[in-house]
Amino acid sequence: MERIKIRVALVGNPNVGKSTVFNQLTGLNQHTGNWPGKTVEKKIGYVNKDKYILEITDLPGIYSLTANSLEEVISREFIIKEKPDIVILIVDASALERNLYLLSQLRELTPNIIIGLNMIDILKMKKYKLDIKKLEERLKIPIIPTIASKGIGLDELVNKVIEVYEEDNLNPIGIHYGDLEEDIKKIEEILPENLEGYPKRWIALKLLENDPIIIDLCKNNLSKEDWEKIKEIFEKNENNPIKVATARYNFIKKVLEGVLEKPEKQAISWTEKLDEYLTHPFWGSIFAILIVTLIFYLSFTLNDLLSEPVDGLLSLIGDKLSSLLFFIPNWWRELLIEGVWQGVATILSFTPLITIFFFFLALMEGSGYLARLAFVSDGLMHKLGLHGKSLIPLVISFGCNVPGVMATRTLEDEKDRILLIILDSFIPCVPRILVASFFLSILFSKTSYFFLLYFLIFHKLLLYIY
Amino acid sequence: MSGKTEKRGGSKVIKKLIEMNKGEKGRVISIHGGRGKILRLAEMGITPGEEIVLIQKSFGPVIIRVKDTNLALGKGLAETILVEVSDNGKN
Repeated sequence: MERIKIRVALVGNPNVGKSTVFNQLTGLNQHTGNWPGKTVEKKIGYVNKDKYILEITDLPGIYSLTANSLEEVISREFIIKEKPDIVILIVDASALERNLYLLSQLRELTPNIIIGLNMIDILKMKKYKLDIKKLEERLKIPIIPTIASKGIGLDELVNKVIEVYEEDNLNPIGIHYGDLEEDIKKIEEILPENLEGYPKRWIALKLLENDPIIIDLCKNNLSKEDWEKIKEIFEKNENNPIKVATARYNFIKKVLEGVLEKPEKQAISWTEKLDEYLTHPFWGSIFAILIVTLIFYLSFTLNDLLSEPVDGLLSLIGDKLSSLLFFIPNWWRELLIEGVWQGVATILSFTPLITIFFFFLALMEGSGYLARLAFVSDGLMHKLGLHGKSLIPLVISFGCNVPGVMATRTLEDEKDRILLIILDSFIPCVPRILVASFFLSILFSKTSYFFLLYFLIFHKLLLYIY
Repeated sequence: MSGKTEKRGGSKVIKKLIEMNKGEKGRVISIHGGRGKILRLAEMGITPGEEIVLIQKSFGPVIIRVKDTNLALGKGLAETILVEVSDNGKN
């Protein structure tokens, strides 16, 4: 049977359960996490339903479609260039005002939007009253309520995608930018048709927002006169970017008026109570030190338990290999066993430690604690001349430099990022510490061993303070 | 803060976001800084006129609630935002 392919893009703010929706829908094993840059790799999953196959691309979590970060640029380029049939926007029902900001931008790029209204259980917990039907009518966008963590509403989401794809009749409400409309129109008139596939209105808005990428694009593709004319229009008022953002929020406010009701006194959830302590300048710091110490302690002690059986297994395999290869010349066998296999086995013997360490790291990340850690450590990191977000890549670097360096992309400023990348590669990762501790245990007494190890780990950090 | 503090309608205090106390509520008056910074904040929902609550203060950064979301702001950013404090959250 020939299946009909529907190309779907999954968009949403960070922390709205977008990755959870993706995982639940596609069943693909994918990393769910808390900080931007996570899903910067393109994740694609498939859903089979009747005669359709949905090809779902999980785009990175973003707050807007400006050129603020790599993730935002990736997302908007994907929507414009790859032209997915349907874009599913996952929004956090309990923070609609902020989440709909992305919708207001998405709307300029494509009309084919479906909203997955996620975490409606939180909405109830917070005692918010939301008239979904009315919201749907006002936005003219289909809305499917979901609780992704429990798998609720996801079938309906898939059905809606198919329905919308077949009927192809979406025409969501547009946003009126007030007195900016005149300038938008003027710019649109000057712009040529089909500028790299970007919609004209969107380019005009981006110019008013002073988007550097779009400014470059126009500069390079327009005649000098046209460019000068356009430049004059959008540079006329330096408040334009804020006006655009404000117009979007005003639009959202109007849409939500009478649709969303919040209680006078907001209930404090247990996570907020916990947050009070986790982000507290004193208790938060104590907790941070405890957690980081505990993770390192547990990683090493659990590794001690596991390393012996693993080493035993590895040498057993070595012996077996050696007896299996009885037919080849001695010198040749020894090269293979003592050289090649030993080399591989040494690397494999690090597996338990790295696995355990990354498990804890994933736990910290998944629970959202890494974000709190970044907040608490911000002051200290600034003293080191680093950004507050640096602690996460630094901590990861102790496990392995590679993901540590990769994690530096959460830093927006290029200078900060490069500094951290350089610093990161000097952090002794766990395998390096193991090699170092091996030599230290041979060359030094047991008591001086720990001091030397700590010195080895921290002296480079100390160097960077000065 | 001690006992009864000024009620609403009393003189309102304008201060930098970084100088606000924990639990204080206020309205953003102005943001100083480059265009990029202002736009970024505007996109996060921090625009003049917006109501914010200071949730937590640490050595440098602050956590504020704006539009139903908690946001952490670095010291540098928090220094550029002026707020009219309307409620100290204690009454």
